[in-house]
Amino acid sequence: MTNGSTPLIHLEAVTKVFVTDEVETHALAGIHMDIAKGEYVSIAGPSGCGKSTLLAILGLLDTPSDGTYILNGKAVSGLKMHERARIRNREIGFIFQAFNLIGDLTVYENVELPLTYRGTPGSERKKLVHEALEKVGMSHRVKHYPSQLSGGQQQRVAVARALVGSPSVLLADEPTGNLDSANGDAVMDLMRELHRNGATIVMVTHDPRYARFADRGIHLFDGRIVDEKVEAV
Amino acid sequence: MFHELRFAIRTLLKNPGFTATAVATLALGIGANTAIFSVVSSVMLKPLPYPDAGRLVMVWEDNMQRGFPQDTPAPGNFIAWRNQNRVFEDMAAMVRDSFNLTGMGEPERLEGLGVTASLFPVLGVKPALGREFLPADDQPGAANVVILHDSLWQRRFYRDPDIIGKSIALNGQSYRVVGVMPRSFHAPISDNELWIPLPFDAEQRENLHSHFLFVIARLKPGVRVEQAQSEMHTIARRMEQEFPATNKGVDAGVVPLREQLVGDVRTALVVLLAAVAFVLLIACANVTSLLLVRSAARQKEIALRAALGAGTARLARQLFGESLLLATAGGTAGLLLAVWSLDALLRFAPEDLVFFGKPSIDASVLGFTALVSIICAVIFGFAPMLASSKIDLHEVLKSGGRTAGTSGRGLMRRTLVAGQIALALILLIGSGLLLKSFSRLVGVGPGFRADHLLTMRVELPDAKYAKTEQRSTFYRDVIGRVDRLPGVQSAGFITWLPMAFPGGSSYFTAEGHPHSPGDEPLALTRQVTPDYFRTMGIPLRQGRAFDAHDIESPPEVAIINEAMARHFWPGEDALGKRFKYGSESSPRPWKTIVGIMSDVRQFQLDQTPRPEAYLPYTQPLASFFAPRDLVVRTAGDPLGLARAVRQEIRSVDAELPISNVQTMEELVATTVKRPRFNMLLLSIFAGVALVLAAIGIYGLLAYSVAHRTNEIGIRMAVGAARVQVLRLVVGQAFGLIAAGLVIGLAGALALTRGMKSLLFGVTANDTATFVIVPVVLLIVALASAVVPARRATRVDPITALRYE
Ligand SMILES: Nc1ncnc2c1ncn2[C@@H]1O[C@H](COP(=O)(O)OP(=O)(O)O)[C@@H](O)[C@H]1O
Ligand SMILES: [Mg+2]
Repeated sequence: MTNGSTPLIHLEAVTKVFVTDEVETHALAGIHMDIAKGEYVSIAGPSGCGKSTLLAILGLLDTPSDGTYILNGKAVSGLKMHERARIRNREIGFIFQAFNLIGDLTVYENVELPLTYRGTPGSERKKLVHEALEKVGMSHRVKHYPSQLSGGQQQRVAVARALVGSPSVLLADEPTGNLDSANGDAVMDLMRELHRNGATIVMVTHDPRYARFADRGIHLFDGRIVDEKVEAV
Repeated sequence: MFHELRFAIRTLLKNPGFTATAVATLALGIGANTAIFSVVSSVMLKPLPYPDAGRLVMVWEDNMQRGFPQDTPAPGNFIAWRNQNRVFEDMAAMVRDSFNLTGMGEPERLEGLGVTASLFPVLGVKPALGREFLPADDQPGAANVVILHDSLWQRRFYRDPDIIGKSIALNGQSYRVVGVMPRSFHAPISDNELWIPLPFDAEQRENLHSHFLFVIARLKPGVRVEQAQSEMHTIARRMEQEFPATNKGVDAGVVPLREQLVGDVRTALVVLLAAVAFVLLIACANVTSLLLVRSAARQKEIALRAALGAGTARLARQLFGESLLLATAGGTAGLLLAVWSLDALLRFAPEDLVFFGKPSIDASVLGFTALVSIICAVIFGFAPMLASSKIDLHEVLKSGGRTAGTSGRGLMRRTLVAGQIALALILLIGSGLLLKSFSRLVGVGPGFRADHLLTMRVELPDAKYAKTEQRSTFYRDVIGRVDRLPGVQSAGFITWLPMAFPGGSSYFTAEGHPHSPGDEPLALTRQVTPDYFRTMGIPLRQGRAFDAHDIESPPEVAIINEAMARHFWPGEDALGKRFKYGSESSPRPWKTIVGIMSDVRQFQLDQTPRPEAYLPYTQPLASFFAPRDLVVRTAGDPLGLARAVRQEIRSVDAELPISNVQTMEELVATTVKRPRFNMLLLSIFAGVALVLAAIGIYGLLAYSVAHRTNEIGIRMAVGAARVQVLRLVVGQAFGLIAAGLVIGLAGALALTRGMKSLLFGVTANDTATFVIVPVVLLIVALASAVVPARRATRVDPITALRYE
């Protein structure tokens, strides 16, 4: 299934149940999954099948109802709030469909944010932010505010923010969902580029064209993995 | 407009929480303003109850050299002024007097005035019944006549329509009633119930050394106060040259009556008025803030209306209609609050605030309230209008891509909150200063032990108690009987108790320290029974108290206070020294100092003790100085013994009215009534300001946290820990609070200077107050930031980031 000895991410019988108004929604029903370092995994499936929930658990934004999650050899399900925040900050880079940039901060400040929370010294921060913006081709817009950018540009800034702290894994939830195809293509090219340079990527996407870029495609249905295929690249 | 109003009513009713909060906030602000304005209006704005009152002035002797810029004129000066001036239509003199009304049931002590016949014409008032005094009435030897006040006529004579011409007994003498003054009449210097003529005999007309008159005058039409002042100045100069022995350094001062009456309270009222204005501004800021939040929430509605073709004017009308409606509701509620609180407020008010009738909610106050409400509506109606005029229709109406953020409106609200904090700080510092000043004031030891003391006043009428021996027998009898009452530890009589009378001083000469005539120093003179000092708990510093020998065969001995010893025998031992009343050459005997008592505060806690001499009650002295105040030290509740003590006085002389029954603590408290009133009110307003400002901070942050959940979610997703989120919100608050505090400190520094005259024992820029109060405000402000900040840390990033 995987090509390394110890996987970067190891999920075992992970479930997630949402209880609202006495209604139980089984968003994830026993997920087993290993993701190796440097892998590019795409997750597909119909709306409501649990893709975002899975990504949130991977990104430590949410906790599984049951099961084991081992990240980088460390069990992370039972960690305290501040430890989880620390791991999110160092190991995870998030890219959202809705960009989720902070409107009151400039491009530079948005990208700098994870480093600020990490306590990286100023001079190094500056270097890293510029490198990240360089990678996504946005270094000419550091002083702009998100509202002054196009959707595609905003998403590239969001990618820069995700990778600025050199996280272990980039998690992207339908990153092209709000973009037209030209801009979508550009962002996808960027992701491929990052992968070629060694980044581990887990990406939710509906688009079969983009799914094909990945090393491995996982298909979810009703909270279960129903299909898994390895691309013969 | 009607359509907009109906819509406004509907919108307000649909948001009961918002509407209630806004109306309650406004009611507080407008209510406070209405209440204080009603006081200001009655004291400072309403015309005095005399025709053409702007022409009335008080005229004083200006005796700066002896430290009396407003001394009561001597009869000789009054006569000279009245005869020589060409600026007044007429002048009138008054002297305070008290009368024992007897011969008709329970004797009663009444405050009255002896007045020249010119008083009522000068004031321009006429009796409701009978006649005023005729010039013949105040000639020496004229028959005794009296004019009653409506209240006395009602209370003691049951509005007897035939009262005119009847005789009543005052101080044991018969007076014929010639007139009744109407209920609305108040004499300008004190509230009195009766008036008798004040005749000056030949000796009095020359009297330039006893200063006891109050003089009021009416300017001729067209004569300005300054002209009158310069004329009086000239006359005083002339008198000074003609009678240097008595008039050296004695000028004359003219003060408009209104200024005379209001002078002292003006500062306090201005401070209170400023305070309530601040409270109102803070309240308006809160309501503006609420409206801004709502207008942000209604952006879509407004944009849609605009897109459908509603003009700017129409939208403005709708928003303003709402503001006006809110202000009207707030104003009405505020009015009710004012009506309800005014009574409570006046209960604490010092007498000079209610002198010319109780402040009430009248037409001018209603007008003020209406005006204030409209101003409020304009203030807080303006902001949402401004905000709505800036709405970018396209931006609001288009859906799609999202970035978390705030807009310029946030800046407006933040400015409002910083402004609130600044205003609240100024108020808090002001009230802090008054609070500290008040505690300093009541912390001043009066020089005696005020607890467990019962006091009352018994005035001995000259007619019945003409001789010193007669009076001495009375005091001895009363003290003997009271001393035997169970629960009484000791009792004493004195001319006037401390804090009970602001006068009673005489010129004297210390042996070996002669003064040129007219320059003699003054000392308070009091006659006492020997147990007075022990009863009051006034410690003896040197020498001895009066003994039986001093009392029985009175040698010329005296006890003085430390202030007198220090002042007139500096660096010397005053014990055994001698002084006499009047000038060195006066025929009065030298008195030897046998004891020195510790100082007491004679007039007010904040006035340093003046030189004071105590004489045995058996020494023959003018009946003016005869003891009249009884003080009794009790084991238990002082008032519990009041009945028994009165009974003992009755059994010595049933004819004597007993008045001013109160504890010594109450007597002391009356002297701090005014500072207490100022302190209390300003504290209440500062408290309200603090609460409103805290609500303002809370509201802003709660809104901003709710508005920024998405942003907070993002920050958490990229790894912000709880503390970092907490710091984000509190930091935002901290910046505002710090800005508000800095502005407030500067404002307070500038404004509290105006309160100088209200402060005692603390400077207007007292360091401790200026440090502690901002810290307290900072803590309260941060505390009100904590709840929203904690809410922010509980934001669930997934929920926050799920697209809406
Ligand atoms: N916080 C939540 N509370 C209740 N139900 C939720 C919550 N989050 C997701 N769900 C439910 O879980 C299921 C999976 O949701 P999600 O992971 O968002 O699906 P996808 O991303 O694949 O469209 C859906 O049925 C959704 O309604
Ligand atoms: Mg999803």
